[in-house]
Amino acid sequence: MAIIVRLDVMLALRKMRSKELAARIGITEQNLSLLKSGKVKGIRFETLERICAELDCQPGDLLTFEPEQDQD
Amino acid sequence: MEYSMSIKVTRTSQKLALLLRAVVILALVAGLALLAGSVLAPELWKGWIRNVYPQVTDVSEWQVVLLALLATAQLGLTTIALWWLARMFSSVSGEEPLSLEAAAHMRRASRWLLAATLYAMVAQIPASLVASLNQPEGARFIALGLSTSHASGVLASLVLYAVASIQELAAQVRDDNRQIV
Repeated sequence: MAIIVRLDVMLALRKMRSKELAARIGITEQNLSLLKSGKVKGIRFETLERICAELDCQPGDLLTFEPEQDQD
Repeated sequence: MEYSMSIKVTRTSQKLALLLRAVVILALVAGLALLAGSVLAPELWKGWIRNVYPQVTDVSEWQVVLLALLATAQLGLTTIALWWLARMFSSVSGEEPLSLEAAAHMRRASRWLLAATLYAMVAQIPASLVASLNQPEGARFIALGLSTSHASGVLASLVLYAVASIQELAAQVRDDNRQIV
């Protein structure tokens, strides 16, 4: 996917564990893990807002766009 | 609110699944009784045939058996539709009320119900022919009629098919929503 989730980088920068963040923003560890690995179809603004508030960052710090290379 | 509603749906579906399974078993027993009755007590059948076709005066035993087979086939098709409905309610009462599996079961039920209704319409032709075969020439007949029960059957199967399509769409939307955190 062209959208890269950089949540793990932000977690490392803030020295916060996934478990702690999941508890603070009110989603399951399983869902946070899926989000970290980019295995989700989307993220709610509500979730994004809570993550940004907890990690004190901007949405752009969490999500980046990298154009996919054509295979042919 | 959503949780209590889900429990209500689950419990109602469990009861309906149980009820439909019981009806399916009864229908199987009735089917066997119909066939056995046509061989063991053909007089009962003859009386019934004369009630349905008053113009028929002479009915032999092989005609009774053939008519019993035609009636049992009708019952069989309806029973299969009910069986798929029972499976659908079982799926709904599981962990996933809005599942693709439940939608598929409902769609199958609608197809079998439509088949049973169409069969009920068309089977009147061979049934009347078989019943009147022993009549003298000129007194034999074939009958074909449409009743409100046929129309209701077609309507019910179309409604079931439509609901199955909606349920399938709902299950897909739910799956999509699950992948949004």
